[in-house]
Amino acid sequence: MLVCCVLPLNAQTKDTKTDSIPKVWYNGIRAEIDVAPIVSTFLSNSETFSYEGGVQADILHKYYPVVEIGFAGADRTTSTDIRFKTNGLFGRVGLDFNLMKPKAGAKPSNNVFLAGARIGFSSFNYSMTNIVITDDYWNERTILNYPNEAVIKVWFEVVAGMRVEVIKNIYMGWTIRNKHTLGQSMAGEMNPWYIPGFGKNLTGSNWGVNYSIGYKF
Amino acid sequence: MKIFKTTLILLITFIFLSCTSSEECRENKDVLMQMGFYTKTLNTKTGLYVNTALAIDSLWVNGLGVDSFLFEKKKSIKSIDVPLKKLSTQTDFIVRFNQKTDTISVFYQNNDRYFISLECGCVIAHTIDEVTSTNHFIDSISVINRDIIPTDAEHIQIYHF
Repeated sequence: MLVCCVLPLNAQTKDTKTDSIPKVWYNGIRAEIDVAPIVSTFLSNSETFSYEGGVQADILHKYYPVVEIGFAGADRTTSTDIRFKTNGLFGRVGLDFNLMKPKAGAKPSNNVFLAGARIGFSSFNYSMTNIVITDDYWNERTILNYPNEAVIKVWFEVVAGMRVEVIKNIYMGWTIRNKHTLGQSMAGEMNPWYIPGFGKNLTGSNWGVNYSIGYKF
Repeated sequence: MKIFKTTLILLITFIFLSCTSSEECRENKDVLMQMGFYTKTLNTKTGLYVNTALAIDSLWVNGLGVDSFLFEKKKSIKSIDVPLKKLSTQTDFIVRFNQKTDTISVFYQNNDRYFISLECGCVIAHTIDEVTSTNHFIDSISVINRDIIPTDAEHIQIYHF
């Protein structure tokens, strides 16, 4: 009983000795939007679009829990005239760590280099239409249409990025993401070409870049 | 300014990553039933009969109701790949083994949701229920793999003793 009471007290006295600036647990919340789609939508010939924003809290200038929400979609007609269409909401939750070590005794910088992980999630519908099936020997021809396929996709992201305070409370920065879908799909199983929040779903992994502008409250 | 340079480099990299996707249908889309021909031979050492592949000297195959041949006078052939009807659940083949002719009927279910890729779309796969035949040359048929999908695999074995 006595040991229990003494130990935390010891730890506290140590902390105050080493840090001249008292530690503040909560250091505000940054709300931001991604401006990269302005460029990326144009680059994909308007085949795909993705808009997103997020909020990220600053805990001890060290831990940055984050929630991201967005809306994305695709409309693509292949060289074989198959049309794929989707749009839907997506969300991600995760945690970043600040990799910049504050200098001893100095005020922690508002410019941060972050690395962390996300779990992404999207529940959406897609259509895949005009799949022409022919058989020359039996002289058969049919068109397959899947007008409304509902799926839930979950993925994992490893992220890295930075945020710089450009004007007071206004932040800019980038995030690069390496994404991997969770769960193995069986051979022949229907699989959407595009997943909102994940992007093109061709190999089970994908890259993403965000360019963010935000405000810290 | 350094940040902006880094960002610019990253964005250019991203542009190239997203531009390299000129996709085409390259996967195999053929859904074919493979039938192999077998006989039983006596192993003189063990005294047991074993299944061995049988090469047919000359083989003709056509679909019931279709005039053109899938295989015409094929020499010494051990197995063939044939297409099943995609819009029906029964397909009949007329198979002439040397001088003897048999009719093989395949009963199956179709799955029109076998996805390959967006570029290739879906194909109609089959699940075999039953295979029957007349018995002029054929002695028995066994189904060894019920699922007919776009991969190279043997599905039925035809025995001639």
